[in-house]
Amino acid sequence: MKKRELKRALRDAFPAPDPVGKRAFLRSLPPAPVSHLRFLLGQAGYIRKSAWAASLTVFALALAVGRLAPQDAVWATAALTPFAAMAAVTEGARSALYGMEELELSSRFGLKSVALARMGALGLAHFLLLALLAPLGPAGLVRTGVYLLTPYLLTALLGMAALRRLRGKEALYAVAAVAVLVAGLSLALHSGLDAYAPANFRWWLLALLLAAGLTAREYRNTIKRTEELSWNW
Amino acid sequence: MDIETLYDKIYRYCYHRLRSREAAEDAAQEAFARWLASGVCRSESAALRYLYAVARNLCVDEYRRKKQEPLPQDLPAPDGALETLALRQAVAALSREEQELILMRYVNQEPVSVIAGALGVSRFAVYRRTSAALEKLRALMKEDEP
Repeated sequence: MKKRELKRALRDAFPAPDPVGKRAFLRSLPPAPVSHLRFLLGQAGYIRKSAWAASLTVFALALAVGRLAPQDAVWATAALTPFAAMAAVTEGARSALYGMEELELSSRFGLKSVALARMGALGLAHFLLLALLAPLGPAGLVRTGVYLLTPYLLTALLGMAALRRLRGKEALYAVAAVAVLVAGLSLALHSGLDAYAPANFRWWLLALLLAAGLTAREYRNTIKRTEELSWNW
Repeated sequence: MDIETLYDKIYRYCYHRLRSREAAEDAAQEAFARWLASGVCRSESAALRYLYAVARNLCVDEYRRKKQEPLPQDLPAPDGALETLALRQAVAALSREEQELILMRYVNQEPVSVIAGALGVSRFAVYRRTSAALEKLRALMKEDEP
């Protein structure tokens, strides 16, 4: 008997009677545990296509500006990042926006994990895109990174604060308004104050640190609120 | 991760260690309960490594507790009749460790890394011992040929 034939024949050489209690046992099992990465990828699949499209549009516009007018690339991209942040924030709060919290809370994966995973997946994708854009700016990697991250985090911070206080469509409009406001502010800072000049970089750095700290706090508060909701149900 | 496939593999493994359907089912179910309670093995290969290791220990405990029972007669009849019967006899002539390796590698079709993790040996050792067991099996089959 050849080796390959032997290996195939071996499958019949270890017979076992059918287990009697298999069905009942498998039915009694809780759902199989899922790895963090698999969960994150699974939840990324539930992110709306429009959210991905918005993120990619921002990225494509930034690339186009960088190619057509490199001197304007930084402030123009900085003015676009709030819209990417808006997509991430509204995605994390989608169940609250559409009044589906109760359903999400009763599902296999808790609302907190789902919101965290979706915002995390989209946020991670945005940071990757921003990291790809940063070296393209004429101001250097660090400065461009700071210029792009600050409006992004500011929008995320104000958007999450709005979502925590408002409900339904009102919250969605509030986040959109915040994104427009921050984008307008970025434009105003360029045209009115010449804020993107190297001399003003320390203020940007300060603003970024402040925005990052407050965003982390707001993120924690948002998650805490979800836990409270979970407890109340 | 298909839990049913995992269950079938672990049950078959336990059955060939214990030679008793009830004991094999108990051991497989206990292994699954411990795996789910552990909450640490999330990927399929990690789950298999954990399940095989626990099932192996449970089988050893069970084997020590009571003597090995003879292979019951209610097993499914082989399709290839004589050749399969000869192969089963040849398999029975192998040592317990060799049978275990052959079962895991060629019947349950586990990757070498899973077997190495479950048995606590190197991948090289698994590869070497499996090849040796397969050669021994071929030699036994040749002896039986007319």
